Amino acid sequence: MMKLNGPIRAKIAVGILVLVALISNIRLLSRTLRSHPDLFAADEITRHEDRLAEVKECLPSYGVVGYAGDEHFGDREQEMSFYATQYALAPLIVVNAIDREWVVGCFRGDALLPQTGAGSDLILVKDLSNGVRLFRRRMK
Amino acid sequence: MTLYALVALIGPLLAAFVLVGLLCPTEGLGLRGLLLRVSLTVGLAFGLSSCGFFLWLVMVGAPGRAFAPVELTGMLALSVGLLVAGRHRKRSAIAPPDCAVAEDARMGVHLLRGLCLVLVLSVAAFVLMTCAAPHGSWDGWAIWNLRARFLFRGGGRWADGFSEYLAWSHPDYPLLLPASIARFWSYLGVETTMVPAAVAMLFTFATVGLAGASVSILRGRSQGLLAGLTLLGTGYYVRHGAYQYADTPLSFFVLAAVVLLCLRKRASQTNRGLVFLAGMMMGFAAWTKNEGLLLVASIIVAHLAIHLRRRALTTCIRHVFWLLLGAAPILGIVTYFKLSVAPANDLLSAQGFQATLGRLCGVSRYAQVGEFLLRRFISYGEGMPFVLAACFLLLGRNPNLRDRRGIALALIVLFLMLSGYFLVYVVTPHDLAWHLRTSAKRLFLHLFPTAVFVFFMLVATPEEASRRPARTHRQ
Repeated sequence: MMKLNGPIRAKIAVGILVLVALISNIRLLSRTLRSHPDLFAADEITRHEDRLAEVKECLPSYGVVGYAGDEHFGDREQEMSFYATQYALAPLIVVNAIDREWVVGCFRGDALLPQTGAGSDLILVKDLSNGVRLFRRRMK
Repeated sequence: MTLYALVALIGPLLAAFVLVGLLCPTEGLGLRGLLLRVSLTVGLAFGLSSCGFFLWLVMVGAPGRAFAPVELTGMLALSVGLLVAGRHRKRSAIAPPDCAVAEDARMGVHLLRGLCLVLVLSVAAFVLMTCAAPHGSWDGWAIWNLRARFLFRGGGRWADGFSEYLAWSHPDYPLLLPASIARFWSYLGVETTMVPAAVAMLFTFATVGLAGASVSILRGRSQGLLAGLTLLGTGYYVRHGAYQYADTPLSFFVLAAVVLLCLRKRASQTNRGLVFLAGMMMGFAAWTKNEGLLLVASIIVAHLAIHLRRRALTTCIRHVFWLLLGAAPILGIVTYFKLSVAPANDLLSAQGFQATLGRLCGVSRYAQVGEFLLRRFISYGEGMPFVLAACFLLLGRNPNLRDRRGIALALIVLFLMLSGYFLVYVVTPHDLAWHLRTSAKRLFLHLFPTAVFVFFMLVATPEEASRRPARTHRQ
């Protein structure tokens, strides 16, 4: 049998809370440092913004522009690329379609827009050779 | 830039500080009173200034050069007006803590040291996470900072940010956070990731300050320090703050409304100011996230339940009146935003009577939601519920429960909000498993600081537990 008197119980409770708080924060710190070895390097969103900076200058200030990504849109990387493009180009509205006057393309490799349907009237205006390409619809 | 940043902060902070002082008497409460006042000031300042910025956008248009001087003059005039108005006002002090035994100074010092150490680690972790992801995590940049960019960069076309094309970014979400960020950028004249990060940091640590100060006032210093430690010690809470989501500001306003209503029971005379301020906080919750509207309904229903049980209809009407009076201007802005600016909410617009009825009748959905929420609760904050359960077993319950009605109100509010969230999941038009997976943990976060507050109101303080006779445990 073990007797736990009031002061000991109180000290154990306080000790548990202090210890848990310390461990939790040390773990948080170490996890952050481990998952971001180069903390001060540009993050993914900033890098995407930098990639789009030159394209942004060619686009109108307001309105709706199209977006074309790699064919397999839906995986997290492609989804992120589309949302990050919208984030970078605001206050322009970016739609995931190519039936617009201006279309921003973010590709991984040398992929090109389909040359049929809405894509048949688009001409390449700018290729930044970092996967970002700007297209404009040919005036009829 | 630093000067502009200071100017952008000082106007609303000053007005909010004076307003809090007028409505929430903290005289005689020492440092804990000051901490309470400062914490409430943070939320109120962002709430007031974001409303002002939105009204300017709607009535004047893009915030040009005139915005900063006009707003600053307005805030200073408001501060002076409030100071003059409050000069001869009769103050109703808040009664001291109801700790059954005297505070243990040594225990307090040790706890304070522990809290300071944890605070330093939390701030360091927050700063490092912000350096790693200065735009915040996914929803941070894809929803809240994106909307702030539309408000700031859009000029006369700021409303483009609420286009149906952007339905994926939930353009119907209210604007406290985006408007606060865009307003700050308007003062600075440039966009910087420092602003959303600073706003996130202020809300995260003001919530900790608010929980610690309020528990300290109501239950004693050691208990307040333990409440602060619990919040800081929940890694998910600090990490989520750095994500720059609106869930942390919402958790602040939920806690603020509940705390103010609990403090009202301690005021030496019927204090309408505290109820009015609680109403404002409730309104700002609705201006932060749609879930805030559920808080408004929950608090009113909780008031009705408590007062009608005591057959105190007149008191009930008076309280609800002052609550709604505080919330009304903000709820007016939320209503205008919802009716004139925001598109329809995805959860509501996708509901059809037959489909909703079908989902409501699906027993398996209740089981799925219940099981998922239970699992999330158990694993919340890396096992924090178990830590708190262990503390409850060791410390025992509060032997001198003075704030029964306040605690009952807080518990009813928590229960109603959880029930509301539960029901939203049951009728969600989205894939239920996906909806639960992507949001359940954040919904717990809205209520977590309030739950911590209630927990430390219900549990005995270390000093009270120390006075208890020994318990025999089998080895």
